[in-house]
Amino acid sequence: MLDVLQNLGDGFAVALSPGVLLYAFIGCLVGTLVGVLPGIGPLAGISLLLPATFGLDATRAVVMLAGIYYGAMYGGSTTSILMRIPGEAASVMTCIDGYAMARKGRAGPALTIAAIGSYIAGTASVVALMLLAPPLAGFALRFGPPEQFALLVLGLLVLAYMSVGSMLKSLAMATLGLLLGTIGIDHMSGYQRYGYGLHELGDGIGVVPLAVGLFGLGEILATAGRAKPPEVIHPRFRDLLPDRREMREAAAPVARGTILGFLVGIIPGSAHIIATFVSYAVEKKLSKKPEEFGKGAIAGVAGPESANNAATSGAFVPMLALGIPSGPVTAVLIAAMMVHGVQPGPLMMTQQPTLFWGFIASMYVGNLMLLILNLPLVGLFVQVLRIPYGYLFPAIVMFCILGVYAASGSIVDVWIMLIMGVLGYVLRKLDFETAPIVLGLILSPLIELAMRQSLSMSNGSYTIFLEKPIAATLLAAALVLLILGLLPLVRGVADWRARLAAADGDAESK
Amino acid sequence: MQPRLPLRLTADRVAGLALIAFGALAIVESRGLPVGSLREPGPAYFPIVLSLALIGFGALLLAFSGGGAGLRELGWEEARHALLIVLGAAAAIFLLPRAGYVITIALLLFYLLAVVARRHWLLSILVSVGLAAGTFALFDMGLRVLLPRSPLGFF
Repeated sequence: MLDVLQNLGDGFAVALSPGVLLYAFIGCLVGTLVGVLPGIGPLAGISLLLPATFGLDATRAVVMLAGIYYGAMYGGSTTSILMRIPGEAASVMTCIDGYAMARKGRAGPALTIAAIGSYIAGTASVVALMLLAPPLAGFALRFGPPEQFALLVLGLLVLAYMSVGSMLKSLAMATLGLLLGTIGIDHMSGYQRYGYGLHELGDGIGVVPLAVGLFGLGEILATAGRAKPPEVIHPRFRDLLPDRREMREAAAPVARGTILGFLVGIIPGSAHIIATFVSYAVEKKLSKKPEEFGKGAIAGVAGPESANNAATSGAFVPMLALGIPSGPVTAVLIAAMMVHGVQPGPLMMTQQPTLFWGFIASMYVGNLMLLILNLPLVGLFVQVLRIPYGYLFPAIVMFCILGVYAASGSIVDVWIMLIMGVLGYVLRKLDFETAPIVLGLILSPLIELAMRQSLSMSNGSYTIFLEKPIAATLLAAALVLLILGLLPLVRGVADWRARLAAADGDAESK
Repeated sequence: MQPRLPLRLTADRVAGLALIAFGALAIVESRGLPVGSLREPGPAYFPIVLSLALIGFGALLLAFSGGGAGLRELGWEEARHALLIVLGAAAAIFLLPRAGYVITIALLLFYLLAVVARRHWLLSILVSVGLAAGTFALFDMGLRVLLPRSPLGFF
């Protein structure tokens, strides 16, 4: 422990040196802007700015690129809360209650809680990263294909079970998302599935066009033509900060989101996204007022935002301790380190202690910088809501098109966004939740790969999922959820969702 | 003898039928791909399992959707506006690679502001051109995100 503190002290000496501090600030600032702009996520931001770091030494380069990464995570919540356009996939869950809060005139508290939650989660998970990196990375390595398959199936069922609407409809939407996720080249056989001659579909349907269509354009189609369009909101200065009740209600979700996000972040895959979905579902289940979720519950912003940022630090565990990327962003960061002659992995701590501990210390400094940078900007961002809706919705349609095109440079993706917008509108009318489609699309390649690898390992026997203790436990939990969710439907009795919907309807009719 | 009432078209029934149709379509579209075996599942294996699940969920929705709101009762007052926005966006996406970013987006914004939202035409022109040019400058020139150019080579 003393060694850790001593190394951290040396790390702070590096992180607080003016040269490194300046590049951490540049990274955080650029990252926040990248996150706020729709369509330019952390991956695009880091990739675009990677060549700019070639002239720097390894420490400055890595500190700046990491700053862009977690800066983009902070900034990504802004368009989700103000316009219901997720800047990147990890902000999808923030759209739901963040935007509902904005429509109620509480955009300021939503943005502030998102920033504070991100700061707490970011800082706390760096402590965990520092102390738990080696043992946790070892545990994550015990997750083979059967365990991964079971974990992903459980994740989908948790989301379906926690949804306030019908579990049957949520499962159907998750399955639709999984099916859409099979479009593209099958990486195990090389076959093109459902491509219809469009080479752009080789990589499948992207998360950005799907999420922007379902959430951004779908929302505009549902609201722009209403006899009473959403009101123009004129937030006052005192409304920019969360009140005492909101702070109290956000505290526990921030803590839970931090722990959950960090643990999920360690597991390779689309960790942030899964962490935010699971955090939202957990908060909804634990809430005393689950009926407020979807209508502006602060816990629905605090939990996922904290989980998102904690997962960012969690993702660094396998990257730094084992040299394994846990997602595309960490893969680019590893590439950046290798360009500068640094090989991430178990030997990095001993061979490059200055870089390793400087990087860890810079994350503390970077998170504080981001909080200082983001809080004053809340007032500026909220001014967007003063724009009359007749002017705002055309701008949102423009950003939907621009954001999707900027993310991939593909006009096919923009067409997909439009189709998904129409689908999102129709599904809203038919009372379906659209978030499970996004999760299904993201998890589809991971679930399919894990399932096929497991079956190859067991010579085609499904019993492999029951022979592995971790996988069997996770699948048993998934089965219990499935039975709990579908039994009331078969027996024709009202379950907690139906009672909630009825109570909600009564409350609205009064 | 009383005439039999036609089956009421509820939202859940329509949704159930749509899910079954989509699942069936996915199975038909998978026919050219190898299914493989349990030991070595082929590229059609997972999509077919999912399609069957989707058909199952659709059938359950049909079976247990006795009541529920009728399709007409859902309230479609915004549908005309939604259709106008979709048509405008579709035209813009078609034009984008042909006419370039600034011209296309300026036309789209003008259409949405002046025609759909019925704002004053002069203000609509100013906002449309300003936003189209401003976002082009920020994204294309500032952030080097290559946006489509007009056939004349600029914007």
